[in-house]
Amino acid sequence: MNETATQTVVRLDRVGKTYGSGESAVHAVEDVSLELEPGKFFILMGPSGSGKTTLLMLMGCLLRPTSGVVYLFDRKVSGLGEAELPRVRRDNVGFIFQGFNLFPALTALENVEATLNLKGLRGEAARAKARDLLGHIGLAKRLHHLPEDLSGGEKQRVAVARALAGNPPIILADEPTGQLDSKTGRLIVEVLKDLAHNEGRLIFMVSHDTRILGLADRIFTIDDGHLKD
Amino acid sequence: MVSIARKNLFHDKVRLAVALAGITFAVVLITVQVGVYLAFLANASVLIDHTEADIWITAHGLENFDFGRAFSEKKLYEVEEVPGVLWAEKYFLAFGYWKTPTGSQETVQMIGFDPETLVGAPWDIVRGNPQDVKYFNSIFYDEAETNRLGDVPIGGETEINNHRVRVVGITRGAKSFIQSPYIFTSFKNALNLSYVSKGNTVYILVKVAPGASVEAVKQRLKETVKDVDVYTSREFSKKTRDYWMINTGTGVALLSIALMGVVIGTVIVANTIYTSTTEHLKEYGTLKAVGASNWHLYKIILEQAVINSVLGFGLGMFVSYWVIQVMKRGNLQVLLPWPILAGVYVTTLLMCLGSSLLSIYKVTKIDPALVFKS
Repeated sequence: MNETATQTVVRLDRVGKTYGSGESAVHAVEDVSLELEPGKFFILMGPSGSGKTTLLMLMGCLLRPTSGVVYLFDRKVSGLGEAELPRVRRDNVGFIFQGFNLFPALTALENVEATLNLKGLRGEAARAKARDLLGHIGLAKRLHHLPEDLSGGEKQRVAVARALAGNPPIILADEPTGQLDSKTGRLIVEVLKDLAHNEGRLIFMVSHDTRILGLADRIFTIDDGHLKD
Repeated sequence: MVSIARKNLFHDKVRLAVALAGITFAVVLITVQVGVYLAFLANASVLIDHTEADIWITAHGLENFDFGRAFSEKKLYEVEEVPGVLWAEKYFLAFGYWKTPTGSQETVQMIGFDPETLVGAPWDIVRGNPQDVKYFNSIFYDEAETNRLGDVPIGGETEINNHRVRVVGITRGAKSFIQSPYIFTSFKNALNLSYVSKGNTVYILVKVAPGASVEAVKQRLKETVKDVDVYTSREFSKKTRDYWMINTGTGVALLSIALMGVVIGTVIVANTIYTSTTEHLKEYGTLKAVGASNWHLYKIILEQAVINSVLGFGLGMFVSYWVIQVMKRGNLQVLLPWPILAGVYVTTLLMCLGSSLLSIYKVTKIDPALVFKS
């Protein structure tokens, strides 16, 4: 991770995203420019419908902007085709979601291992790496539990371990504490902050929770699609 | 490597059971119906196919073997004169009433052949000597027909058309398609037992001389012998099978039920796989978000379909085996050669893969925003 320490990881240049057209057009994100460096923990705040998730999806190459350009490691990714985007996401981005999105039929270990399989690691190597990631996140004793047998905090930690599978330099988290109590939520946020500060990853987190703002290196707010620093 | 497909399938056991019940039901319907169809098909022309004649001469306008009509046996002399004919034999078929040991009556088909040449004689003998049918009113019947005819032993007597007959042998594999058991006897006995006038035959069987063309001899027979129809054995066999399977709708009915099995199975499997996919849409979306291609997701769905097909086929074969045993006890034959079983599996696989198409369409259209909704 330290290799990217001085490089801009994510750069948005006058990015806009409009859903629909004509009178029914919704400008979810308008003219957003920002540069994000590695090893930092960013928080994005804003009311519902302000464009937070759209911005996250633009940064994660899940959406193409209507205007402007998205760069990852100075590579223009917003113009890439459908065939190339999955590879860009696979190599660069890990996601954490508010609803965890774990496969209910897979154990904690298998949820992480399946993502590692997807990223090219197979067999015992994938299993060992998954075990390692979950151990790193404090779930060494919950490896073989199904999501339904885990607490909310444990599920989110599995999701964090899954996001780390394949060692992506960018972690995008969408309200990861939204379904957790405040104590557990703060623990998860501290884990994310450590991932930024100790491992040099770029962590960009969307949140409503004002109690964790003190943990961020930089805070953005968005309102009606306009970003403010 | 973690098999998401396998884990998903076995996680929800109720859904798996419903899917497997659907596939099993379809497999049993397809297997049994196709098996019955094939057995019917084989039985419909069993006597033609086991006779060494190259050409069959029948009354004019005959639809199939079982409805044989009498014509003058003098035609035999005309046939024998045609160049290329090695030999010609009279062959008899007529319906009769068999008196069972309980006193009831069963319709039978009496087959009359020449006991000296044994042309058209039963081919698989369990007991007895087929030449013994030369004795007065001596007959053979098939072991598969004891349920209907009664277990009359060798040397035992009963009646056909109120004439006393004596059992001198038992055959195997000579089962009539139209459910009227075949009774084998000599041409002379069959004629005596029937209500057909003397001096008639029902068929003339022809063997073509070595080196002669069957088609050419058939053509000459058609030109020479009037008021009869002339077929090669293969043509007559096909005509008989086509009559029962196509003209009467029997084959269409049997295969329609098999097709219904495919449709029902497809609907049930499609519904369960689609529901499963819909419920796991967020997880599929998550895989897509972290870099899975559409093809990666398709593979998960298709793997589920393949597992379903293997398990459903196995269960279906198990159930079919017992269904067929029960049917055989009821004297209904089922014919299932290995290539047909392989075909049933391929059908099952295609049914399951086809059932996945809706789910594949669904994951193709996953909105990335879905994964961000709590």
